Amino acid sequence: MKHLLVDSSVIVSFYDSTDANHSRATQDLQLNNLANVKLWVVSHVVDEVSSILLKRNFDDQLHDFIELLRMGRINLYLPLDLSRERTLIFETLARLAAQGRSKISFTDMYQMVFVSSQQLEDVSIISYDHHLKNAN
Amino acid sequence: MNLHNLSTITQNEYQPELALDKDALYSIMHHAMKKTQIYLYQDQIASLKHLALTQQTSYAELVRKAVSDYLAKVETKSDKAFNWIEHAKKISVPMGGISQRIDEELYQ
Repeated sequence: MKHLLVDSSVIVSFYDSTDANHSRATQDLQLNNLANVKLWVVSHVVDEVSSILLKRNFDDQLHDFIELLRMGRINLYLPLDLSRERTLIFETLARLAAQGRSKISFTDMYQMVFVSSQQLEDVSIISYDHHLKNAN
Repeated sequence: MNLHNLSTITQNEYQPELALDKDALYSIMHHAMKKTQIYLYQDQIASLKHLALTQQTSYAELVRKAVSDYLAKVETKSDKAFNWIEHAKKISVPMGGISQRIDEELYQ
């Protein structure tokens, strides 16, 4: 089974009808759903999306996001093994500290480490964030 | 490594002691799987072993694939009815196009 880690940029594009990537986000999510690809977010992405929606008072969209997570349309990844999670976090911090002038956020870097460590079977990332794209 | 001092370390000085090499990442990847024991019928074991031999793969890989295929089949049945495009029409609103500057938006 294929798994897809959904970045904050995709979810925000989905809710923002004026975003340049809005149509792309809805189509990407729909196509992956039809292709039986399981959608996931890590808790850091939940933090980013909910913070942005809260900051701008988009309460309906925040409630919808919570409902998508609750219904399992998008799955929240919760680590079963906390020591492994600790390793991933410290690997993320080490890469962030070593990255120099690039502007990759903790969440972006964590997702890259998460995918490379294959916490989920056959997993890739979907993102429209140019920082994350450039990092790849 | 003292994380409180990270901002004072220049890139040249810092040697990322925690950055994992490929072998270490493989180790995490390997341990991402959990060992489990299950009872199978003898004919199932025989068939799987035969299949593993003919497909030049491992017995364990075939079991993983069978579980994965089964989960894909049952877990996505209800989700297929969900239409993201229709849902976006109902819930999306103008926000000003912020998806590509989320970090700036968050930490301003």
